[in-house]
Amino acid sequence: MQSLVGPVYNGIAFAVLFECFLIVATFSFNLEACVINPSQKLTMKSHNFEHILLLEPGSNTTMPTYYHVMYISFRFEWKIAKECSNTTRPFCNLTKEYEDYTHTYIAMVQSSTEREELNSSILEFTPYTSTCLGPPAVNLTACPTCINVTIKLPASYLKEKSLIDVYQKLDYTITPASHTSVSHSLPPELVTTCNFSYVVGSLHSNTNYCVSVAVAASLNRHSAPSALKCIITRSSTQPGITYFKVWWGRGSGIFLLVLYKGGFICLRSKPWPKVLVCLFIFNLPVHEPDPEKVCSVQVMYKEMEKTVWGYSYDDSESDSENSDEYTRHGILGRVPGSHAKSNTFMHQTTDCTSAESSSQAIEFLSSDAENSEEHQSVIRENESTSGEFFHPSSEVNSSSTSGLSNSACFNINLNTVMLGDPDKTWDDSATLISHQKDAVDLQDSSASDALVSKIFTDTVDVKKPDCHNISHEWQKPSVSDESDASDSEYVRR
Amino acid sequence: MFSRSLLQFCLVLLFSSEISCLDCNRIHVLQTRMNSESLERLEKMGGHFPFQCLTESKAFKPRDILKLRMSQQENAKGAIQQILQELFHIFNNNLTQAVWNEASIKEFQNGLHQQIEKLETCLSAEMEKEMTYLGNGNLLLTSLKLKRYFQTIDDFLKEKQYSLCAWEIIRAEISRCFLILDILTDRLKNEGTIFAFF
Repeated sequence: MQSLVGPVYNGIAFAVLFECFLIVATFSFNLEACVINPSQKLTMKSHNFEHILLLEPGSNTTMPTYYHVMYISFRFEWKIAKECSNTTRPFCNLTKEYEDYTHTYIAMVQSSTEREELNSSILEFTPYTSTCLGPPAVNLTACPTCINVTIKLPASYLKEKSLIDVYQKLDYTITPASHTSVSHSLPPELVTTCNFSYVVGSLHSNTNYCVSVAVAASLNRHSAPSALKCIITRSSTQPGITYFKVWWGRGSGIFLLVLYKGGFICLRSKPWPKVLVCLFIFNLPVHEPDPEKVCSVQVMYKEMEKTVWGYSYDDSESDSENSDEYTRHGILGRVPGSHAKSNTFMHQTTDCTSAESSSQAIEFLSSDAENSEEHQSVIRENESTSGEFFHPSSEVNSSSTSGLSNSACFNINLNTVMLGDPDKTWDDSATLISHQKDAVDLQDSSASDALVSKIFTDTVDVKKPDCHNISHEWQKPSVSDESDASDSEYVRR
Repeated sequence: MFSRSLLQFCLVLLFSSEISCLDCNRIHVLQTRMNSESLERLEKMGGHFPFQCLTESKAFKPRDILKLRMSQQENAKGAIQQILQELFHIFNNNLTQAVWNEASIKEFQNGLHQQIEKLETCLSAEMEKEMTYLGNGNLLLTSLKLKRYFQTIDDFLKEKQYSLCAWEIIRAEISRCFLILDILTDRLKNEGTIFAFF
């Protein structure tokens, strides 16, 4: 197996490179330069079907040279270029002569001086495939993250025909000249008129972009690109709006701070009355209660050390004076912040009509919504035996400890958790642990095995943000936290 | 060692077949590109038109293929296929007197063959339907015109005994065929969705 891995990877890498090459080759664009100089003495400069034949460029004769230009198209007779017979001008305009642009023309130039006959030279030229297209007229307007490019085709020198009439479809290449210059080629289907606009999007705002546009046809790749035109993508918002946004943000922050200090938001300085604590426990349903199943649950408080009530952003402000109030909240655990103590726990027993609240409590432990069904089935299982203490961790273990790993905001030393009838004494701790060990087998996720073993011995340190969410949910049941879907269930009434 | 490189080779082939999968809804894009490439190869096959053959060129007077007009109802598929196949057939003739590079001739022929194949892959199903369509008299007319045009070319080559000048004249004429092919290929995109595989 190992011997195959190497060549497999090599093969895949090579194939991917090959594929990339093919893709690049498919989309590659060839735009040719506009100067046609096949012969040594003659050069044809043709732009948009205006053909100018340059005769002997760079010749240095002192005596005047007479040029005689003739041309022929295949299957036709030789014709004389009217404006260029016996002329001393070193160029000849053949626009009107090369009227039938799909044919191939051969021009012959005979140059002579007064004394002698110089050589003649010929130049073969097909206007349709060799004339240089463009440059188009380009106008730019800016928007925050895009540029609107208005393109106008140049006029052709043909009689009553535009470039679109000749070629029917043209490719446009818009090249933004920047550090990331990506050519946009417009499909010919989009372009049917001589004047149109195109929006180049996905740009950075407040950046200078320079754009150049080139036009070409499928069988004629000779194109003259337009000159670079630059524009800065500006944000359309007024400066005042930016200031408004800044001050609004600051004002909101100050307002929230004031609320927090005043105790309106987080209610740290205001203790909950005992009555309300119990009401909170009873009034946070997750699902409809099953009226048949009844169990009795008692809330019991044990000694709790100073805790941080889930305010992970506020670790420095844990007050010892509030520790008593925290215990009354009846949460099945607490957020292990930096100040978390390890030897606190809480038993919570609730009435099960109140099956909702116990199930809710279980939900509360593991905010993993996927396991809610398992939780509920476990609850029903346990509810059948009356008077059973509700011990959060065992329920959760039997369903899924992966839920624990997600969220649970509790910190329970399982060695001290007891299972049994409330009327009986608390001496069934061994039962609990063995029950928990059985619960391991029921789990599906193997990833939580390590976590399970941890639970048996240590307290679980869970993620702060989830706990942060949960605690907030607890404090303010009316507020739903969108970030955690399962958390929002807790506060639903 | 050998099995390793064989495995790599097989993987490359496997991925290549994925890459070269044909999208029949964009066949006109592919055909346009292949037209352009074939025309380039044709022009590169030989040099400039030999001056001495200019007099002979007057003897060749076919109908102007660019004046071929097709009605809106006719579709371009049949015409394109016919032209490509005739072009391929022309270059199967005796090319010994032509002074062109053997390799470039083969390249040109291969390019044409690929074009024909890809077009057939995408259009074969539709073609059968249309041939049996009784009201398609226009299609037949275009087909006859094209047939006559290419017959003229064949006759000229035979008459001049496949001489160098004859081949150069024909090569210049064939380059104009690609112009009409380009126009016809553009019409392919207007001819609806093409279902090549059922």
